[in-house]
Amino acid sequence: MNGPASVNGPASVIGPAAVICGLGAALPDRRVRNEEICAGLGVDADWIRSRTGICSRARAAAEVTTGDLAVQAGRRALASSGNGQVDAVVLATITPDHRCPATAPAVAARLGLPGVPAFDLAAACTGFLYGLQLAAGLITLGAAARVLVIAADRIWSLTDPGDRVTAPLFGDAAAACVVRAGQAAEPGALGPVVLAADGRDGSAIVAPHGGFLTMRGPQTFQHAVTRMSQAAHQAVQAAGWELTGVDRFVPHQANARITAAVGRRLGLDDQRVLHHIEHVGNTSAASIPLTLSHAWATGRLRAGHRVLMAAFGAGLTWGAATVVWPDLTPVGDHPGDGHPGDGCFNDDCFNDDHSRDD
Amino acid sequence: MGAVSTELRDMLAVLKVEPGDCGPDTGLEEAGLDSLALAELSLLLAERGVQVGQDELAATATLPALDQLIASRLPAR
Repeated sequence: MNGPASVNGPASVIGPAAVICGLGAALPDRRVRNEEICAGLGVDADWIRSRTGICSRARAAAEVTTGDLAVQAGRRALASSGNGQVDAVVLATITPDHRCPATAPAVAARLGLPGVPAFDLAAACTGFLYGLQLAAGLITLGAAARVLVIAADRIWSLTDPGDRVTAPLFGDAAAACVVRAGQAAEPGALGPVVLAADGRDGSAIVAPHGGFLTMRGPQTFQHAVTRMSQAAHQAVQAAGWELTGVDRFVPHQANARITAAVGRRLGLDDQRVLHHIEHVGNTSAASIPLTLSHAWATGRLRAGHRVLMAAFGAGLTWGAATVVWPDLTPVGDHPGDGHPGDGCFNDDCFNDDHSRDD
Repeated sequence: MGAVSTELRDMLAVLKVEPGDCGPDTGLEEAGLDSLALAELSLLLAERGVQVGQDELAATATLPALDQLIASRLPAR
């Protein structure tokens, strides 16, 4: 078994800790339900649900870019933090608006942050955790006191609508965190982050230049389950926690079958595993912060919860991190909590409790 | 006729797959074992020290044949 490439955090550094202090999410309004896509894939809606746990996914309109989603999520995260200024912007995405330049500088400019360092980071579905670790590094170095980490993918742009392996899975979304310098002992302080990559198996998930993303399903399933479980164990151990003390586990929402399998391997009961995939599909880099935002909106995540996050994605890349959830109010769309067309349920469960800032 | 071995039934329980009544021709899909379930079954077997790929499991096609393959690989008790 290969070990992680890096485990870093408050235990091994002298500088300030990185503390999550803002969370924002943005989803396109349009929801695409299984019933709309199943005929074209030669399957029925229940086939998609049983294979993936997904009932609907968000899809951005043709004119909406990754940058647009990133700006919306970034603005909301800044609002959630109560402070519009940061010293750096990191955008985790594999669907940038252009091959060159990176999308982050334009996003930063639109957020009223011209002049701050801004760059893209490509680590696919592990992008958010890679972004958090980069932000933590900048903070620990003293190069930044506040960093905006945005995870945004217009992943449908890479998806072959006729591929039954990938077409049911993916949904467009963005979500973002503000991370600030603080103390390792305070709520929101990021624990040691486990990051790893192994390109030897990179062909399991590939989108060539100009082509669609292809994925070897069973192989990806096995890597995802094994790697996320392994990284979760390592992150918990590095933090000095026990798995029995984890209140909420937030796996990358790759496929409900994968998250269930990881939960089983970690011995975490369903009550402690946060799921959001039913409503939004696999939203690539955005899935962990989007799930956190949704869990807060539905009351499943509270300040003081010991949270374990784990991700796996193309590369292959994977990672995990811990945080004691801080007392903050996320800003964003919360599907499953009111959006017409979400989920597998009838409209009678919807309410009007939309939480939007624009 | 067609009883699934305790070993396989225990592993399927971990996967939350209930095969129900099975006959000699019961297919894997029919028993609730799609490609992802076989991928996870392969992982469970690896934890028991038995290396059987998902492709090899899928090639058995029927539940009794799958049971037989696994029984032939598991260490004798």
